[in-house]
Amino acid sequence: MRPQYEILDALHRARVRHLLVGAAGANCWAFDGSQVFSLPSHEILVEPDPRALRETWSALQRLGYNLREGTERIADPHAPGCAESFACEGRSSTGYRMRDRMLVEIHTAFIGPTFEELWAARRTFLAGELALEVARLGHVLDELWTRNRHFDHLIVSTWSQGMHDMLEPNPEIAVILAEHRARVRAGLVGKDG
Amino acid sequence: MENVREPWKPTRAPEHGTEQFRSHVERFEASRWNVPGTDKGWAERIQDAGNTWGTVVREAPTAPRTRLFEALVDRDVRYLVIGVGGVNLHVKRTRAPLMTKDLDLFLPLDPQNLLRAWEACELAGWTLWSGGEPLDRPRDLLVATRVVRWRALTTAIVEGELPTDLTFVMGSFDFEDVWLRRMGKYEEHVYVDLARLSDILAAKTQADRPKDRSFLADNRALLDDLLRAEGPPDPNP
Repeated sequence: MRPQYEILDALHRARVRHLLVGAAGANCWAFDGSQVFSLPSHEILVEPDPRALRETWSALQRLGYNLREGTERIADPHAPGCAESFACEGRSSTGYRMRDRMLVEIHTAFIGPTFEELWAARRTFLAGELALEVARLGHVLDELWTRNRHFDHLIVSTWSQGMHDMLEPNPEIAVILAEHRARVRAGLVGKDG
Repeated sequence: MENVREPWKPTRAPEHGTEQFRSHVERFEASRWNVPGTDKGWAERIQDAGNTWGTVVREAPTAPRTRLFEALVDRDVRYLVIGVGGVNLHVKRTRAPLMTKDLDLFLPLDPQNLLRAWEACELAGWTLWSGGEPLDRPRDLLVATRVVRWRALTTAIVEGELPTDLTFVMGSFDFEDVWLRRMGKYEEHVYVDLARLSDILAAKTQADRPKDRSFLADNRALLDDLLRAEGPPDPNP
């Protein structure tokens, strides 16, 4: 199983409500490879509940991840009230696994809608047998834009162009395609592919 | 002179926050390649260098049983699939399922949990029956407490699927014991809590009804193979 799916599978088993957000979430909405961003980290939003966070951390540790908040290592076993404080204050933690350099960002807060609103609007996709719970594309792109970082703006702009080209194609393209189909019908060229 | 066409250039996309951008997002979300249940595994696989990839589209999960399992997870219901329906989940998909007249879900003696299970059934479009009659309304904690006290059976029914029994009895087994030894399984893409095969068969042996004896005798070889494959329970569940 791919490392990212290993984590999602563990969260499903622990019955932790979670959503893929950030670039990992946007990738799930992609129409083709031109919209997929290859990043070393995966962002997961878990419900802001101490139990959910504790279960998430345990799942990550069982899979061999080291937990940190920023550069600070989260003590193992966790200090009493640690998960409560993370969930209450909407802090993020990261899990890093040395052997395959996997980085997972665990968020408990989202800029804009509440977790319940995001959960209600989510979309469930598949990866083989695994269910991918993904935040709405609109929510993901809005949050990326609000982070106000150059790279996140780049993701949103790429998405905007991709959607625009798909939904409102240039009329010139229609003409080129019609000419191509006519040539195929006339037997002048082979079929696509 | 031959007419040379200018190379195609994309038209400018709308900025974030504009009305057109929002409209694009909504249309894109509603498009047919983003219906719920579409396989998006390729988006992750594409990142493997040299890996060939393609879009795999699967129909949205609309089977009533899938909806029921989804709703049970959604409502955080504790349940275990038992009976022949449970054995079928243990059997590999390549085999034809064993014949049964219903699907049994084993629930703990917890009225709150039962109430959530009823809500999940209704949410998934199943109707609830008890003792040959539609289950009383309002379906509140008082009714659930009485049903739990009497260990009464509730049956969920929907067109096109076998009835699903919500039961509190599994031979002499205690729910918590079976829960600790449970196995997880993905049925369609939905997570299902499943009792161990050895527990299911032990309960059938205890029940010792003619149909149980016949089931065990007719499928002995298959069940032995499955039990061997299952192995001992996890010592640290």
